[in-house]
Amino acid sequence: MSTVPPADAAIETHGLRKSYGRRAAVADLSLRVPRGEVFAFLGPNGAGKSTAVKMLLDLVRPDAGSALLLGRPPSDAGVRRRIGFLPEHFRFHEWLRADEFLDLHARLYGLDAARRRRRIPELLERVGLLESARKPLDAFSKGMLQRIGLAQALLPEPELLFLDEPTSALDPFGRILVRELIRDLRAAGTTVFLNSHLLSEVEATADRACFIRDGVVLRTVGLRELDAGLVHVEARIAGGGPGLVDDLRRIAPDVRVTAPAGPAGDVAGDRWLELSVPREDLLPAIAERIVASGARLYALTPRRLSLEELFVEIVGRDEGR
Amino acid sequence: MTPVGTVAWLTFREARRRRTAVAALVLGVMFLALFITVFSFVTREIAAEVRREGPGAAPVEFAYTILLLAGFYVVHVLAVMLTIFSTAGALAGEISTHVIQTVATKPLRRGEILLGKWLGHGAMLALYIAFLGGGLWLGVRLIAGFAAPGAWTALLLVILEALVLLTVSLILGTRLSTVATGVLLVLLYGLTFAGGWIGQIGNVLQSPSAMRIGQVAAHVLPVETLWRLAAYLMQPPLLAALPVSPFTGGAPPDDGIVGYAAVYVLVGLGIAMWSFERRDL
Repeated sequence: MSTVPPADAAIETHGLRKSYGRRAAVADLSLRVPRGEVFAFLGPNGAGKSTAVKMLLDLVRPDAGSALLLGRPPSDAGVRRRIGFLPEHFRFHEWLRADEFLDLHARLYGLDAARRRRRIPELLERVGLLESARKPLDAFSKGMLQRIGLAQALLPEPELLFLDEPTSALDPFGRILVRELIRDLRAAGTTVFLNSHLLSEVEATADRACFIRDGVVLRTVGLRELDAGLVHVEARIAGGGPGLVDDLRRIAPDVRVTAPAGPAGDVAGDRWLELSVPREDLLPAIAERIVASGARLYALTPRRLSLEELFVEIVGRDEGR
Repeated sequence: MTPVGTVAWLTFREARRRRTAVAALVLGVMFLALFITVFSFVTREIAAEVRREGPGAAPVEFAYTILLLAGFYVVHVLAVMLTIFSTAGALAGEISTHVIQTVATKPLRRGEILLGKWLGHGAMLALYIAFLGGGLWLGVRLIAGFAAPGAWTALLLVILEALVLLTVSLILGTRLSTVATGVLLVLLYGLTFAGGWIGQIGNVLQSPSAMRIGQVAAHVLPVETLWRLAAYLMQPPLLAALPVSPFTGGAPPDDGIVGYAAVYVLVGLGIAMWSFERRDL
């Protein structure tokens, strides 16, 4: 059984921009996240991830551009009722007890008494804090605070959930919990916007990852499909016309040619081509073009890049931010 | 409960949880006990004098009113200090600690958060001022059977003072840190306090420029002027003859200041909401 998803995306932005003084935190952010997707936002520190999330949630007002959440502007109260948010700085009214804290936020969401009574214990149990329900938050560890913050974000059974570094304070148990939670939410059709620099977490949960740096989207790659956008190809060839590289660039824009290999015994005039392709099924096309160009093909080795390698490749070198 | 009500209720809960409510109540009770002790001693002495010398020997009502006025003066000072220190962090603190983020992303307008905070703190301050002032009034009433004229109006004016300061505190809190808000409020109050006195002295000396300074001060922050009006309404006729005292001045303050203060609060709330709506959190 499949339902047709609503035409509007969960998140849609056009040219969002925000500068602090002369520095652009987010330079030009255009995104489209379809409903039901787990979408990861990746980038080095200071890339503008948190500012972008804050703009999407109307905490920060953009200098230019527009954003729609579930088809409505982020300031719309009706939309906010359907959105959950766990901020990066999970600081709360720490003089409240855990159950009171959830009750407060449930009231702010406008949940009626019956739903609050049902939802609060349910979520306390879900995040493993049922036994601490009557403890004040100022007695909570950081990890417990992050868990209760997560419960808070889930109160309205959101259609769209923003998680900004949701596991930064969590131990391995907590991380597993978050991972399972994201999977459950995904199965239930919730859209999750995951802001994280823990790549393993993203790899395990996200459908797509968007790489950003200096406030600009560098690339968005799919992580779910088997041939998910992470294929790095090395080809060893000899000969071939001068048009080969240009021809290959039509399939993979980042073709690199390296100098002939050194060890003796190599075929004279051979060279290495390195390129990345978004899908594995493009490999035969690459082989065909190489052969068609008159070159001899000695090796064509696809290698799946880890998300970490991809991160470095897309985002570039560490500049000690 | 509406979102505004929820935020307002939260300030009460915070005061209770942080034990500021208990501390304030304990200190308030101590203050009332001290006042009542002093007042009953004075009453006893006056009664003894009346017994010795016959009625009319002591200006009984004058003494009662002066004592009550002194008590109200303390309530006024406490109201000013309490408002500054209890509200400087109401918004600024939650912004700087990011506590505001989970609240401001809920389905309510930022203006509603601000209004809820204003109502919560305003109601709490009003209740506390009424508790202190009402306690003083009741003490005098029970011990001496004296119902001071103008006391309730004066009490309402002291509450209005607190609301004026609370409003300015929230305006500043939308943009400044807790410390900056508190310091600026103290300075602003200090300046207008001094300006008010300069105006008073100008009144006595008939110096137009000094009187103008007093006028300006009264309009920049109509707190001290509200107190002078409150004191004027309570003062015994004898005291009105004195040119300048902490409680009164030669000329009665214009009671148009009440209307001005009310408009000041409303406009101030509007400015605070406008400023809070527009800032990044």
